[in-house]
Amino acid sequence: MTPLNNLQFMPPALIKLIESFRLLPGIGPKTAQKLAFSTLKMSTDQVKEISESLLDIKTQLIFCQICQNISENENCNICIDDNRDSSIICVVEEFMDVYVLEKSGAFKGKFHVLHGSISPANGVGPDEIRIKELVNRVNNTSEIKEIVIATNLNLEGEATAMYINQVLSNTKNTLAITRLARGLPSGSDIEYADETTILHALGSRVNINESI
Amino acid sequence: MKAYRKKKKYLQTESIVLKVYDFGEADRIFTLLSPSNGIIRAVAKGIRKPKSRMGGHIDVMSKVNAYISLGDNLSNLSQVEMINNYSLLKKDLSIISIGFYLLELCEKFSVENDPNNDIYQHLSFTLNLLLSSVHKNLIMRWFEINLLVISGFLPELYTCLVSGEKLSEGDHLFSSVNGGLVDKKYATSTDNYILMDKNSIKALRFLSNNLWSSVEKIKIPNNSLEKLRIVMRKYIQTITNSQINSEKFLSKVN
Repeated sequence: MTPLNNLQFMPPALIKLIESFRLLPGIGPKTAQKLAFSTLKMSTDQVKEISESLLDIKTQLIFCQICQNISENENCNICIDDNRDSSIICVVEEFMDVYVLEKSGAFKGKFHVLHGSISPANGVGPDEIRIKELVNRVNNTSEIKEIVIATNLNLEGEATAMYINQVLSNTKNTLAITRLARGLPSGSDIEYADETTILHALGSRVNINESI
Repeated sequence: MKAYRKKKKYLQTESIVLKVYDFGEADRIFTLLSPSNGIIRAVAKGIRKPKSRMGGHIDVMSKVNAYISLGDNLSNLSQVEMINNYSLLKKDLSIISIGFYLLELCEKFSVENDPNNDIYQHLSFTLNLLLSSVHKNLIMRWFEINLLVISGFLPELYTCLVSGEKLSEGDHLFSSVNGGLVDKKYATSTDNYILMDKNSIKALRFLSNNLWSSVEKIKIPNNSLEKLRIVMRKYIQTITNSQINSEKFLSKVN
């Protein structure tokens, strides 16, 4: 992080707050200063609420024992929801992916969060992410019939998907393992699509009556 | 070097993507290996968004034509055009793991803004080789040894490092610290040697002196290839003074 310049005239507490905001992703020195000055204008109660919320996410949130998503309890709300389909598990890289899929409203099964993807060059192998927990879950739950792998569509995501496929196929051969389709994003023009996307879009084409 | 950068603000170069990591909200930093500028680290803004026009054109282990605006701290990837995605390589987890290993080695042996066309061509050739040849272990050993040759780190294979005498045919000790073979009778207790049988030594010499077209015609026994793997791992770790991260994954899936 580049040092803050020309802030000597500011009280140390304010400088400390600006530096704290700068730890957040996407926050540069200017935005950090804006946020710090806005905080200064807030009432004590509002600031107290913000600081308590920040502390709460570290003290009250744990990982769900079943799906490894963040949760306030041992098991998260999705895992204990009986209305959801327990036979289908969607495997995602990060817990933020769960909320994106939930927002779509299209998936009614349950989730498993890996907390990363296999990235050998960065020292992240299968043992560093929660693949073992997924394998144990599949082995110990007879009702699971399908695993939908929704890792990112880059080489690391693909390697993770292939590795999960390899491990799960060896442990439970009756399991259906599927991968999210890849192709053109909604609202885009084919004119600007790259060769890889076109290749996959053609490969994953579906009958017009089956498309949503 | 800084003056050079200021003079030439834009760069168009063919390159192979060695590494990538997420940066900020929707950006990624790519580590590229180019023939003209060695390692280039460049940020691609907004590339993680589904509607990014660059997203589908660039990924790890792909050859691209990159348009880079050079910056003092971090360069900016302004346009990119896919040359070869090596999509057939990416259908096999075992080959992907080998690819990751080769890319990491190239990153370790390359320097930023230092042109090294030989390493680039060696990597490009070997990635194509992975598609066409079934001798994956042999390819990896040939790649490692020739990467050492290109980088000027080829170990001494003909003369004893202690006595300076020509080595006789037979088993000898490999010293990764001193970078070469030592006659058994001159071994010291302080060095951590690896014993190499005469066939492994012959194989190492042959791989270091020959092009792939000659190497693919010979048959090297598996035990010799395994010995070469151990020797190369130890030697590369010593000269780069670091662990090769992708090696763990490589041994897990192969």
